[in-house]
Amino acid sequence: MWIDVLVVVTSAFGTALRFCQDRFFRGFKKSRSTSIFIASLISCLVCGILNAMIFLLETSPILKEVICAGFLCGYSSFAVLGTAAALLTKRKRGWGKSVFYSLSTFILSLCFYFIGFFGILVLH
Amino acid sequence: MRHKDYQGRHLKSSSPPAHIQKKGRRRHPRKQRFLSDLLLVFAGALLGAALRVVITHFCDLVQYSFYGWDWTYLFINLIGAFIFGLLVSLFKVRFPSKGKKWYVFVSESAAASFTAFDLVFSQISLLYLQPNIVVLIFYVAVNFASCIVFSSLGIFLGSGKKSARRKRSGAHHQLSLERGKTRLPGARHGY
Repeated sequence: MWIDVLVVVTSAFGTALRFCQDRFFRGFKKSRSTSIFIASLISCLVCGILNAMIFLLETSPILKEVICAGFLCGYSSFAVLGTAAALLTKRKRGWGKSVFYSLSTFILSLCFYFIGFFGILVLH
Repeated sequence: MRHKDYQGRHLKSSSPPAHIQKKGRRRHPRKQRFLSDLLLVFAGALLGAALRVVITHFCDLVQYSFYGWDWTYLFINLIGAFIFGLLVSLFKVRFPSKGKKWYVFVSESAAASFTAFDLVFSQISLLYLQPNIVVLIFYVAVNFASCIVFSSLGIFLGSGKKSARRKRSGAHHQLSLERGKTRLPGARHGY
């Protein structure tokens, strides 16, 4: 029960952080899709590191539950990413940029996850 | 004493500006709007995450698992992606002047916090337990592609029947280009 409450609260903090990051990027004349892209990469890297730590060091799964299912899930989101990709098709450049954006985000997120995961394994 | 306006420029007259005269020193209106938006985002994210946790507890799809995976997160991601796409297109493309606060509360925070991106990726940590890596990557790719398809579906359902390309070639778009309105619906939201 308390873990669920922690998950909900940390998820809200993650979403608030991404909102602040969006505004910060807007200040530098960068689009929201750039902010979402960076959020996905960071969250995948952290998620990989965390999973490797749990796998190797047998860290408490509560930590994974709170950080991964809470904070990181609030921070980056499939829905936001998909909507950013779909809204890009409504701009002048059409489907090409959208497909490139979504595929590059997916592949790089996967790469960052593996970097985090295997990085900890190798270091250990 | 010389007073400053909102943008930090010195005012010519010695009398303080209207926002300082009435109730002392107030916050910058843009900063105030940001703080109220942040509060709305936090409240909406609490709601979305709570809904996700409740669905995870009650909608148990483990019995239909494929290679030991939980399909609950795919179900949650699909619903969240569709709702998020629909709301963004409704609030930002179809009715851009209505419901700014509702947009921030429902779509920017609740629908975004509802979906779980990292839990799908964390399924890859089963890499050592699963002999078939291709199936694992396929699972993540299915999650990712279906979310994009569902959010696109939501956007195209919410933004009306006409596609952006057809609209751009229409008479209204030509008129707006002549007037200097070159920004298109998707670009208005900053994506």
